[in-house]
Amino acid sequence: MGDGRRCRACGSGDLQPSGTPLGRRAVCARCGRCWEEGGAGVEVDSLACPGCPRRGRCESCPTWLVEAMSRRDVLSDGRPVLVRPLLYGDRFELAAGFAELSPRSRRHRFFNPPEELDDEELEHLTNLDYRDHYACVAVLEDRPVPTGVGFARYIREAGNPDVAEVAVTVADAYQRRGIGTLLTRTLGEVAARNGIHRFVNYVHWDNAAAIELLTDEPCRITPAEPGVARIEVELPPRVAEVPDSYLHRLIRAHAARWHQRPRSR
Amino acid sequence: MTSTPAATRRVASGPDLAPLDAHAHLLEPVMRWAEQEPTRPVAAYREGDGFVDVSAQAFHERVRALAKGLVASGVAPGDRVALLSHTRLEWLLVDYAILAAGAVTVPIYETSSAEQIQWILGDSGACIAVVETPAMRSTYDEVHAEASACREALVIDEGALDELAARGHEVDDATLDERIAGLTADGLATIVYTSGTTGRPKGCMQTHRNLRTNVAQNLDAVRSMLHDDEVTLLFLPLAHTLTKCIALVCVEWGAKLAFATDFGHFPEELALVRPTLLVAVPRVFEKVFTAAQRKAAADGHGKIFDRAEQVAIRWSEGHTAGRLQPIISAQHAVFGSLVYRKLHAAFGGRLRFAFSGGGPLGERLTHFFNGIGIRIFEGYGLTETSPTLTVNRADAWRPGTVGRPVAGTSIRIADDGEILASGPQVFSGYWNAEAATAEVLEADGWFHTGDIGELDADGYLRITGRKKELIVTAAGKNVAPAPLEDRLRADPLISQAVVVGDQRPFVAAMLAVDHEALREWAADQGLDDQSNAELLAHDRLRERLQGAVDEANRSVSKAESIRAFAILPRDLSVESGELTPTLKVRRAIVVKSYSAVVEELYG
Repeated sequence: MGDGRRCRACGSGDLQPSGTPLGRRAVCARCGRCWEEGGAGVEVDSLACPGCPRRGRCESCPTWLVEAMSRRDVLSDGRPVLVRPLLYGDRFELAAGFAELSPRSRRHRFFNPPEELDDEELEHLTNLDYRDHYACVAVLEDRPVPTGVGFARYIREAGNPDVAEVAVTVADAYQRRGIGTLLTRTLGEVAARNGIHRFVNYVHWDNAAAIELLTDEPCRITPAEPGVARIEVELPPRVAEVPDSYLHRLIRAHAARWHQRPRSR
Repeated sequence: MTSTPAATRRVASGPDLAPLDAHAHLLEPVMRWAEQEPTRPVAAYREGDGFVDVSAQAFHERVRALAKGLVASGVAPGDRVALLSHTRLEWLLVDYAILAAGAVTVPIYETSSAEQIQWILGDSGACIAVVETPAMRSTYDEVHAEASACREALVIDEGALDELAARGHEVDDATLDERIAGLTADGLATIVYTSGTTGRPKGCMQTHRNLRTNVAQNLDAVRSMLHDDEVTLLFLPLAHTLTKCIALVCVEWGAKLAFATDFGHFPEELALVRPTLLVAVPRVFEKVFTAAQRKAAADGHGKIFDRAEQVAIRWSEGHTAGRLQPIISAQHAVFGSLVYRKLHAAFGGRLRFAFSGGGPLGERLTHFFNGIGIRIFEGYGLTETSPTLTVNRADAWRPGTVGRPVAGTSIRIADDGEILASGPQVFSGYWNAEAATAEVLEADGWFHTGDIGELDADGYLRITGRKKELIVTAAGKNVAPAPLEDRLRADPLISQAVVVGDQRPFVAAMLAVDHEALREWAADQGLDDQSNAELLAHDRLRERLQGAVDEANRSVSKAESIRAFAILPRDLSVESGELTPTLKVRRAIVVKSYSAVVEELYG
């Protein structure tokens, strides 16, 4: 960008215009952190922003869309949690979250986990279109710095548009508190609206929490390769019949437009 | 939870089984044969150009002498004694002697790594180790400081048995008789260590009842085929429960147990011993078959062999179904003298039946061998179940399945497809690992096998999958790929490691190289000028990666170690299906998409 702004995390001036229309607009090339404030914002046309009084151009809080797609809930231990869409700018958080996962949780998530998530993998996991690839994050807001403690995504299968693969990860310290359930429910609702009828999950048989979570609903379990179960869950058709909401059309419109813009990387 | 019913039955049970006497133990058959028929040859060992028989009486006397030696060496009832040796007569003698002294045998595979030996000695708290060779002795010396309970190691090849017998002179018969009289069916007989998917090997506690019952259950399955003078040639490790169990079946029946010296001499010794029954892993049958096929092709008889194969299979299928076509019978008779006899000769010419376990044996191969007159009894079980749970019986034989539950045993298919088992052969738990035991053994006795299967309408079990992330090699060795892969990936040059070897002769690895790290390494090596493709084919890279493989191998036994590896030309990808869209590695797809590479590995 070269207009003198610097990354708040590491001080680098090498800020790349980036992010989705849902989120932040600059990512530091050096540390991957989002640079959040000020500067020229993303065009959001003349849509009303419930987050700030301005119309037509929202400079600092395009987060309103995120707000609209978020839900607040309470965990089994009584703590409040926010489930919101995953943003391109969350890549730093995602990488940090992965680094903190126990070897066991990493193995459950990636089967054959890398030492750390590299740029290519992070790009794959955060460059979402919110239709074929949707992800959400569970954020604990009662912490000094709101922390993402669970991530879930579905990705539509290339040759099989009715079917999407699902992956859910919850930070070790926060497992077994209902975060997985919350994330999966959210995913299911979004997926059904996006015309997906079935979720496919590949999980280790020894991942008791995931097996319990997934087999809570009517499902079909078949053995995949040794150690791995393939669990298919039909999404409730009544949700699939719900007409496309205004908000989702809106988000997709922006996602589509954003993807047409030239990219720096 | 609901799941689509994949099977027609959820539960199947074997016939009733009379319970064992509370004082039944494993020494009984040894003592019985010595008393009833002292001259019966119960064992044989190689000496020079032939095999020397051991009579029931001599066997019994040697066991007693050794047991006294162990008592003199301070072995108390309930003590653990480690036995690290390959399969030989001395293995069985020492095992029985340990039991006679009231102690517990802890067998260790002769191929175990130093790390594994150290763990097993320490965890079991073995007080004495009997090891086979001076080399094993030096491994023991390296690691035994960590296993402080172990007082001494006796070396079989350096006269351990004579030494024990000499020590035993001071112990009188009454003392030993008292020890034997103190044995109970529910007393612990052996702790067999098995490797799980993660963590250290766990010790399966098998009681006299577990093993003795399983012997009866196996015997029951083949009794109608047995003659008085059966002979077997043992070559699989006795540390493996299946081999041990069939050896015990032979002792119970009074069959002669001949001990092969090593696998290299196996063909020669088959001809010398001419066994009537065998216990083997599928690989052995595959090898014999492919060797014969290759030889026929080389001699220009490929077509005849193929035809003979077809006829043998169709004959067996027809025979099993009870509808044999005369034309097949006629052809079968012709090929019998032309082809089948030669194959039979490979096994010594007298083989009538064999037990197969440790992995799936192909349905066609089973029919083929049946067609040439060798009935293979494929069964199913685990170390935790001593081992046999189901087996194809002489009168209930269905290739492609692992048979029906043996007597006194029930099999249940859980909602998620897992095979659960209950019966008197199910173990009492893992040694020193209550939590691990609770994970697999329910309070009401149902054992979770970790395998997935279906029961057909007639109660035959078919194995369809595995819950545990384990590779089972063709030799029946269980290998957990995840810890090996973790160790490999710890190397900065390796971005992805996929360990393969399911139903293959050995374990191999496919490595994807991190391109950034590769460039750095190239700069270090002064190979900057080379392209990535050139580097991937470079001998020095292979050498470097071999180092990483060697490092990973340090944690496992020879049988579990990576013997070959291939460098993949690119990273695993979502497009190729090797990774799921959410980036989970699909081992089965990797193997499929690199099938050419895999075939080369196993060349």
